[in-house]
Amino acid sequence: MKKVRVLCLALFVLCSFGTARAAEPVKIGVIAPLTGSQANLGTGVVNGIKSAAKRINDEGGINGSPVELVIYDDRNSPDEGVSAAHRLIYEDKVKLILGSIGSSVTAAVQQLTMRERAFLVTPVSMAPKLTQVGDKYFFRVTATAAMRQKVFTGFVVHALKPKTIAYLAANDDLGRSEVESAEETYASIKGPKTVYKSFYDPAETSFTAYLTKIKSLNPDALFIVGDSVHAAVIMKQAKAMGIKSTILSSGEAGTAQFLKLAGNAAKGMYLSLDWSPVFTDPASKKFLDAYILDYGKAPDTKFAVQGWEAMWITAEAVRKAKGMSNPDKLREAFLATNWTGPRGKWTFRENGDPAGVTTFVVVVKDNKFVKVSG
Amino acid sequence: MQLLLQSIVNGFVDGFGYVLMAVGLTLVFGIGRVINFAHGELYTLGAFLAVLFIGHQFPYFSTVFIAPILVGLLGIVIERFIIRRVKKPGLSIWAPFLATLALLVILQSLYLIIFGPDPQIVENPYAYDSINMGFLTITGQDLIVSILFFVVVFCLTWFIRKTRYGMAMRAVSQDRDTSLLMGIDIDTIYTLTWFLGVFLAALAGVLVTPKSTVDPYIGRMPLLKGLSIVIVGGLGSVEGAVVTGICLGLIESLASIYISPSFKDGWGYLLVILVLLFRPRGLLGRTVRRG
Amino acid sequence: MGQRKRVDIAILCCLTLITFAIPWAVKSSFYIHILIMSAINAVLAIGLNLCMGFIGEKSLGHAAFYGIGAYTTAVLSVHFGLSGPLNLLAALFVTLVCALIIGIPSLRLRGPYFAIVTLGFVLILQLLVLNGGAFTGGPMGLPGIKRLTLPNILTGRPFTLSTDIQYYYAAVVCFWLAMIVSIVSINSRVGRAWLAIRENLDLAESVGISAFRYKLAAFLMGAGLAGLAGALYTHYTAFVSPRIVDTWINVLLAAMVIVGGEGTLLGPVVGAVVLTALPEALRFAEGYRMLLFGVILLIVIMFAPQGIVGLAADFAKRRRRG
Repeated sequence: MKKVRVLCLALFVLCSFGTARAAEPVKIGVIAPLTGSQANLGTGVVNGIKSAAKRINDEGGINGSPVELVIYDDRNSPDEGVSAAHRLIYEDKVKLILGSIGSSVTAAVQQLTMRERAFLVTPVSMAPKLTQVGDKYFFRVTATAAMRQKVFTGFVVHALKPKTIAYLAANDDLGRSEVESAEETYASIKGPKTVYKSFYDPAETSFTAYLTKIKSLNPDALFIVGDSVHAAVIMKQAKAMGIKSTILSSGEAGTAQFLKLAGNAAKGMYLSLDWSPVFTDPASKKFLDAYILDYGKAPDTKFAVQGWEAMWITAEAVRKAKGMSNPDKLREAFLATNWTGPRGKWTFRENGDPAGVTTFVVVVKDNKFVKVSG
Repeated sequence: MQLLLQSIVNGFVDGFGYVLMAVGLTLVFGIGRVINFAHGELYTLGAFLAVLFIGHQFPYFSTVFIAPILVGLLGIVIERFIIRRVKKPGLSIWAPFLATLALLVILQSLYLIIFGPDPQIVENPYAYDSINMGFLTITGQDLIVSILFFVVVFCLTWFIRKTRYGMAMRAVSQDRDTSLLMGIDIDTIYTLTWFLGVFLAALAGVLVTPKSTVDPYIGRMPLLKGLSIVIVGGLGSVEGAVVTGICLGLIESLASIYISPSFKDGWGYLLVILVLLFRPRGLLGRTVRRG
Repeated sequence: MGQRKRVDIAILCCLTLITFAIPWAVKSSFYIHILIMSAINAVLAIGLNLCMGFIGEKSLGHAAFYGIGAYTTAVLSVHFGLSGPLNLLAALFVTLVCALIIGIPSLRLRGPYFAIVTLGFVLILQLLVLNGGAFTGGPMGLPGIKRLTLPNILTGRPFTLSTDIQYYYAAVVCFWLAMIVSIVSINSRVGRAWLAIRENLDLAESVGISAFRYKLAAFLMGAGLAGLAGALYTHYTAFVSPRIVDTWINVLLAAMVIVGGEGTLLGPVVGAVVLTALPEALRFAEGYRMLLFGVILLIVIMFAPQGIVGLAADFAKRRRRG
């Protein structure tokens, strides 16, 4: 019996030496909706993250250590997100989480990461509050509604000069924050007057009631906020009704998916675009090549790009800080970010927001997005 | 004036769609005595099958008939192998209801796995052709829905009133035990009811979705709207479903324009609550015992 | 004392020991989190069981009270800075008032009608919360809720619950409160009236039992427990969102009661633990998690509708006979 015990101990010691030699992987947690109504967006983001991780590892990993992703589904539910975060932090022992999509899930997870001094990097969530609570370890790799609106509203007021505007937005974080930003900005630059404002349930499929009222008011401009699907359906129904207002949309509609779903109805719509698969700069090309290799075709939406960039920026920061053991050092590394991705150059402000994201104003012509001004 | 007119027309069209969603549900409840919570998922299946067929070059109009029949067959399978099994006397009377809830989860997950989360379209070239009569606009799909609404209601009413099976269904919905004594084959009636109810759900799916998109989660709205209409109209009453469905469409349309756009879905639920508190049998249902 | 009662008491004693001693055995904060959520869900399921199992009325709106309790606490914390016992009491009070408002008209209905009215109330509540602007936080919810501060009876100075283990004990206290309410009422005159109502309402009324009043009692008790659970939940996660009044939670709660065994004392507890832990345990099959969940639920409903506790009781009965 004693011999067996000694043998086991010896084996154990040998094994632990063995594992100590292999490079410790850099574990990064991912929380995103892979099922549920946002599965479309979540899957896109995760695909981007996975592609990025693969390329990072191909190029030697982070200071020689491979990136290991631990991915959990949050079903767009804050409760699930919190459970996933608990699991990531306490069981899987990750120190940095990429996620999530819906701002309510991200905010819920943030409560936990703030308490545990873990990093939370969101590739999509737009709610302004996330960077207003003083979380030192939170970074947002996407523009907020206010940032997007700055360029877009300027264009609308100077080039299109509408006197009246109607808002039709989804009743979620995105819709509410876009409309709020737009109204505030227009008010400050003497833009169009609001004649109608309404928020529809994200599960809504028939917009005739809203569009009928809007048609009767005949505003110069109609600002739609919703994801590609909503935007496409609203456009189709609006055009079928004969609405003559100039249609403006939030950036979510700037995807191939929207063009495919909306078809001819999308003609003449203006929107702000931060990225599209037709960009040909080297960073975009690297992303597209990798994505097409991994998944067989170019992405339909821009969520994959957001995941891709979030992963790369995180990897760069961890590389600079030489690991994730010192949160403050990692924070410094994030703040020192100076990386160029498909959406342009990335730098961060003290509160975790990006310092400036390049946005273009485009119009839909011949079933394509055509730049009108930068 | 034009606004009012367009609003009313919209209300009717939306209402026709709602009736199509609700009438299958009311049949299954009235006769089969089961609230089919998976109803919305069968609506979704109709839409997905339509996407599949049209993708393989089937014309839209044949899909309108083929897809619902296939889904109806699934309805028969569900009735025979699941519902019948959980209706045994020893079990809780709520076992069938929970079974349909479990089915909802299963079907929805299957759609996600098989068809993926991305939204798809039921291509119908006429869907967005609009007829613009100056003061009124209607789209091609609206017309299709309206025409088929009348066809369905007419056929259903004829079937229930004039055919042997239809009358047997009515008998079973009113008094199961006496129907048994009269020699009606209850099992066949139940199976037939499920086929019909599920067929109608899928039909609604194929007809309503060309106006928007299809993904695994579109079944929620039809289920909730359908439930509201069925309760208010009277569980088991086809006429009740028709009247209520159209009224709901009208109320939502008019209220969104003249009262509050953001409360659109709430009117249905409010109606349900009001009706249940003051007239629980619904507008045209049978008497309900109060506790 | 009959043998059956002795077994019941033994089970309860064991359960008490387990619930209070777990933190010694389980160190991982993740498992503690699952246990906390299980305890909270158990409180909800016990409350729902009073309604469903004991008086036989299926409520599809139980989550509404959970949400009302949660939002009351959240609003008081975020907008008024309260975070002490007053918060819990306020949540309880508001929930009971709402339960009265909803219960009085609805409990006159039976069966599917009652179920759907309660569902209607939940949906309207969800709409109200979504459109509540800055007050309820709208679709994003209210983050940043303060941690619970309780007065320390021994030293007089208030202490703030801040670690997971502390919240675990708070949840356990809540759970036992629910169990005590359950046990006491079931074994009292109220409980016997409930049984009579469930078995045959008309007969019960004919012997003078005012079904309505007893139903209301069960409904209020269940609602109050749910409200308390909601308040605790909010202080624990520091967050609340409209998803808390989603229809899905109602389905999950009904499933917990049925899978565990409705009408039994321990049924909802077993159901809550199983159905809280199951989705987490199934995470290895991420893409198929919900599918597996649905299939398991269907199998239980089709082949073991008396629930886990019901099955155990049947098994024990058969063993005693043979």
